[in-house]
Amino acid sequence: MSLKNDTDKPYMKQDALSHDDCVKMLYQVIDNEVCPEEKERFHEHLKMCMPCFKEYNLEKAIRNMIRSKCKKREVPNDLVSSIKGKISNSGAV
Amino acid sequence: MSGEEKHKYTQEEKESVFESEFLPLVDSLYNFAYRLTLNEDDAKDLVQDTYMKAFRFIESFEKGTNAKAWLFRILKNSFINEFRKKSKEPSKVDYHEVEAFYNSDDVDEAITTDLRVETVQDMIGDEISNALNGLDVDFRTVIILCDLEGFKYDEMAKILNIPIGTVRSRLHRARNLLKEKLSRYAKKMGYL
Ligand SMILES: [Zn+2]
Repeated sequence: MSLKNDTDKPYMKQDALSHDDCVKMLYQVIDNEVCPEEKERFHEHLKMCMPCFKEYNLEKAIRNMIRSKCKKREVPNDLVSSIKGKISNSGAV
Repeated sequence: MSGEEKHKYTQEEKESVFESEFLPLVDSLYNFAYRLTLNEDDAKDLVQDTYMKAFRFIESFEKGTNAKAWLFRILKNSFINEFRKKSKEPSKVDYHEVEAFYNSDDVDEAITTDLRVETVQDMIGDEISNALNGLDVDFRTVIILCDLEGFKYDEMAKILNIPIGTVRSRLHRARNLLKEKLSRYAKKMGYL
C-alpha cells in the first residue's frame, strides 16, 4: 500500500521541531553541541518561524562580533623568559 | 589535583612536555587571565603562577590529552583561590538586578530584545568588549571559554568543575545578559 510506504520514509518535514524546543536548542546549535539530525530539524523549523530565524541570526552576529572585535592582547615580551627563569630557580630544572 | 592518576616522567620528559605542550599556550592563557583580571600585571602574575603549578603537578597531566583544558583549569582555580580577592575588578554597574533575575531556575525562556543584526554589526570593538568585560566574572568566563577559545561544553565543565547542565544554563544567562547590555547601549547611543 502506498500509504504504508509514506510512513516508512525515515525523515519527513513534519518532524521539524516545535517552537519551544527550538528556543531551547538555539545556543546548542550555535555551539555545535547537537547531532546532525537535530541540527537539520532545527534548520527546518527556522524556515517556518520568523522569531527563531531572527534570534538565530542575531545570536550568530553577536558571536561573530565577539570573535572578530575582542582583540587578542599581545603577550608581554618578558613573560615566557620569566616563567622559564622561575622554573629553573625553583630547582626543578 | 590530588586524587588524580599520576604519570611518571623523567626530567627530560617533564621539560619536553613543558616546552612543547605548555609554553605554546601562553598566548591563550595570558588572554584568558587578562579577561578575568582586567589588569595586565595581575594577568602576568596569574599566568606565571599557572605555569609554576603546572610544572609542579606535571605528573597529574597525561601526555597527549588536552593540555589547554588542563592549564585553563589550573588558571581558573588559581584565580578563584588566590586572586579574586585582591584583583581589581571594575565597580559593577546596575546589572545586579538583572543578574539576580537570571539566577532564577527558569533559564530556557527566550529573551527578546529589539536588537537587530545590523545594529550589532555597526558596533565597534570597544562596545562589544566593554559589554563583555562588564559582565560578572562567572558569566564573562563562560562566554570567553565558549566563544573566544572554542571549548566544548564537556571541556568547560571540567575547567570550571561544574556539571554540564550548569555550563549550558550559565551560558544561556550570560548571553542574555550580554544582549541586554548591548541593547541598553544601543538605546543610549540612539541606534535603536
Ligand atoms: Zn520558532
